[in-house]
Amino acid sequence: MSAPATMPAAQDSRPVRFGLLTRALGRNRAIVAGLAIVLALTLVALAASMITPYSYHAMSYDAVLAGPSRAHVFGTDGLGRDLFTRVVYSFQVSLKVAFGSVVLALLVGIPLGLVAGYWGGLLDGLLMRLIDMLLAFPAILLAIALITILGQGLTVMVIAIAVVYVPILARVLRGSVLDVRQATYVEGARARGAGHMRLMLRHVLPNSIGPTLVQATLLMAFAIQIEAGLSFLGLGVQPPTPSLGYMLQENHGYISQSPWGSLFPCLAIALAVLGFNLLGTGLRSSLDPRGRAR
Amino acid sequence: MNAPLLEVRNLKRYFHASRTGGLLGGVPRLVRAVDDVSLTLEKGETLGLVGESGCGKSTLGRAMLRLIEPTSGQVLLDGQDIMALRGGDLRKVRQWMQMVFQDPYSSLNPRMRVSAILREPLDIFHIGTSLERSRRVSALLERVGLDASFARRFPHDLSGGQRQRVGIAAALALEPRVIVADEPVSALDVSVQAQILNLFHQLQRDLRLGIVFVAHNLDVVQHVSDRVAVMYLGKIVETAPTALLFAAPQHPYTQALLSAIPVADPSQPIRAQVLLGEVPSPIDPPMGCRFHPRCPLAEDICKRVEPALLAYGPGTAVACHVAMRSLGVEASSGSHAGVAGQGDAEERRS
Repeated sequence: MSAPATMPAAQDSRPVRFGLLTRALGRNRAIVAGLAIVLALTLVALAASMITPYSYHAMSYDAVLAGPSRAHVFGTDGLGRDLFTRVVYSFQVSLKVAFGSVVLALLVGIPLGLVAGYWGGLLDGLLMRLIDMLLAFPAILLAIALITILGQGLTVMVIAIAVVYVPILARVLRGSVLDVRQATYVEGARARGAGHMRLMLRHVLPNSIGPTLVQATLLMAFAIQIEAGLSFLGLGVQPPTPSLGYMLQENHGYISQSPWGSLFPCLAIALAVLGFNLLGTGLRSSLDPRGRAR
Repeated sequence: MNAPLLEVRNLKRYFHASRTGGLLGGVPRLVRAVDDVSLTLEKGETLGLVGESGCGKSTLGRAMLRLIEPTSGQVLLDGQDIMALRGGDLRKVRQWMQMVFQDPYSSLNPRMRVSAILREPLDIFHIGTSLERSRRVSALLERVGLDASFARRFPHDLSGGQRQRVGIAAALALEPRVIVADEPVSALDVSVQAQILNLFHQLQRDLRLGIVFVAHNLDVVQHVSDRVAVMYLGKIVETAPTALLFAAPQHPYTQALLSAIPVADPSQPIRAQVLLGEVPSPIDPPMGCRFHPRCPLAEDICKRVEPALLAYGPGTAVACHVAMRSLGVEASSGSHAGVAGQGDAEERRS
């Protein structure tokens, strides 16, 4: 918490937090595995230009639809482009979409859910009916509709997925806010003069954000799938920027001659989704009081 | 005439029950949790507020501090009506009136250190410099019998008794004049209860606080209170100085409560006067005296006429037809206890 530096007790906050974190990590293998995958993928994406031997759009007519070899670890696609290179660069798009859409959705969804749950009443009713309307659309359909309106591209895709996610995150947060705002410590803080802003931001939000962050992590996994789906449909990033979904679209025609072009992007999607899912479920079980030593 | 520290006049708090919520809603029904209660609290006095679960004592305690908005009535702190206050003005008055909660496990924010909890009210009201606030946190902990090193702990590191001490320290942080303690020991072990009760005793003596001590346990109340008010179904049925109330209870309900205190002597015959039936629903309280369906002394008049809370001596009052008659107090000659007749205060409210 944002305690001033003069407060003596605040000084040891880091070691304790860190200790709690490492203890939680030690006990929770799902978090460790998920975190490892996500960090590895992020590093690979960041270091793409260093670890890939080719340019992602360099074509080689000597090696078209080649299988895995020493020269091309994952093989090549129908235009002779190195599949490994393209998969690695695709992670950049996947992760940008996953992080971007979820962060954007959190930025909008947290205030909405917090305000709706805290104030309740008519405001809550209106916001929740609006959210019900948005939730009634299938995610991918809503995203397609938004892309149709806003045009194509990475940014638009991030925004479209964020729009799909805002109601989900807002609803999850509202649920836990409804619970926490009843807590005696909130009433106590009110009795000691805390205003609504302070009650919401310092008492209610920190105690209710947990499930929302878990949901957000799980939604990152889902965002990777949506991105792949949209790109497969040709609504995602534009060529030549590689994306896992678009690679599937390019290569699925050759699946009988050379399955590698479909297999490796598929495995990559699965790995990324698995990583975020493990992280999310691990976080969930560590936040669940029943699974935590008291 | 000197205004009492805290005065409650004709306070009512009704809740709507069985509303299904949403846009359509159900048929609203009224729960009269607190129904026309008047009481006073002097400086340095501890008023015990007793009653069964659901009699409205916690609601009354919260309504006094406007943590729950009363339906009607007046609350005067040092003669100032706090019912009219809004927003910032209300928050300013809040610092004079604090609350200690029942469950120390849920009354401290689990994500804040003890220092942050105790410091927050000082930050809110801009009391002192940063250094002074830190010193004040240590002083508060000392005041409630905790070492200053507790400041660094999180609530989950503390025992129930320690948490309750922190809860009391938090209530004291703003140097209030009135503290409403809502069953502050009922969630604690018996050995710890005594320590916390002693702490309340010290605070009352040292700080000259006015304390409203809510409890369902008469034994506990006997130890801390100067005066006791007994509540039944949203109303005060009897009030008297502690010694007098325990020696000579007038209301049959008080008598039944007192007889239920267990005596730690197996040779003593059990003489508990067991009340029959359940507490009636406050949604639909009985006509006349609310206690009459369970009262061993009930007469015809009790079913028809609701007895007023009438004084029969200094600092005493009882709401019972039978008791009044045996005390020789006529309804007309007895002065209204608390203050102001019914409706009187309401007319004055804007």
